[in-house]
Amino acid sequence: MTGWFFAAVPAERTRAVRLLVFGYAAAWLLIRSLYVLDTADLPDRRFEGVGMWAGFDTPVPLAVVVVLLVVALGSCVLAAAGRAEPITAPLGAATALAVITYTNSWGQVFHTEHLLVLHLLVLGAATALGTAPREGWPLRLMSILTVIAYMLAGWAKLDIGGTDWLSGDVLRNQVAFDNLRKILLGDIHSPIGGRLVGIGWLWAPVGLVTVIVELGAPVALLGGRLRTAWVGAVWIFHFCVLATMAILFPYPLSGIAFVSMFAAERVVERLTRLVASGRSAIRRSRTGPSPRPAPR
Amino acid sequence: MFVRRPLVILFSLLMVVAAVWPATTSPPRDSFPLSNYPMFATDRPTEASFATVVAVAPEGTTDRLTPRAIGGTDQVIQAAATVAQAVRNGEAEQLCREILDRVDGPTQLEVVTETYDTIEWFDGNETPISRTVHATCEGAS
Repeated sequence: MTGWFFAAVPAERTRAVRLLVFGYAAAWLLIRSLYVLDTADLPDRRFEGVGMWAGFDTPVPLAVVVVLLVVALGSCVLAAAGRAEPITAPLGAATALAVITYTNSWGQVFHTEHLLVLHLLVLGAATALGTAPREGWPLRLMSILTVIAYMLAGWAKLDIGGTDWLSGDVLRNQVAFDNLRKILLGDIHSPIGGRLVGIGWLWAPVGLVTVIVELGAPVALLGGRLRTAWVGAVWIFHFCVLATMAILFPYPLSGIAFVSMFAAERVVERLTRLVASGRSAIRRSRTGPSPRPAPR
Repeated sequence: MFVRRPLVILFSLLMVVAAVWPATTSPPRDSFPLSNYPMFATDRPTEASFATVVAVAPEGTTDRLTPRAIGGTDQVIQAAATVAQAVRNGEAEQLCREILDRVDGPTQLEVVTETYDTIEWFDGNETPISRTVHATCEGAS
């Protein structure tokens, strides 16, 4: 077991995972910065601190959150780029945790960001502990945490929903409730989900498959085709959640939530080649076709 | 530079225990960044109540407000929680006024709780089973 956990990986793989995960975190923080600014206008009574903010009765001054956000953004960008990692990776992980926890402290816990933060903490801690890029344990630990998250989600469905979950009723009622709530509160909803709630027989097999995929997460640690099949199944699950409830889980849907399970360096190589060929195409379109040599 | 293995094992075990811990408490904990991930697990009754705020046109028809108008952010669950909290705490009137000050256009708002059969709604039955008005507020027209 420890042999597998500590087995070496190509150094490029660790760098690729760090690039993708910290890069995603930077993009996410940038997009969420609007929401952080929104919270400044909310009444103090709406603040319900969670996690590291649980001891706070009132929100902190916006300036504090903005400073944390700027530091988190800058650190994540630098960590993604592989600059001063012993400082930027742990700092990026810690400040991202602070900012993202703060955004979860306004009456709603967003389950879209738990795995991202756990992955950042592993990468940040690994760098702080002086882990060499060839050491595989950070990637293995990230994969284990991913597996645990999905297993817990599957267990929660059975624990809370019981056998009604397997009959499909819980899932069907959830889809109906969520879509109607969005309609009544003027938000984007899923017309597909609205139509499908009328098909009663559909939900039992969907519920069963969902729980099997989530509880079956440990197969991903076996690698190979089982890992790929499981990741594919989870991606389809998240796509269906988007299609039927208009709920976006961007971290898994982007695929980055699972890069620790794969040869991430090949993903980065392909993306690099794609960007390079795109740049060549743009350059060619600007300069026009190369002149033909004059006939002798 | 290689890390001492026991330290890594300790850190890894701590992370794993922390990740699993929310599911082992009674009741399970849903927080951040540790959670039991109870998404979609709650058994919702088909007959469900929704607290919301609507704009009332002069002719009596109602228009739905957006989450941003209701809650100040684009998050629908937060908007729903805002209204539910206000109704629960007897602050519906205050919320009504806050929203009226925030939105352009509507001059009359209602804070309401509407109960629907959620399955039948998508079958075309959009009439609420019940409707309770908690507060009404009007601004200058």
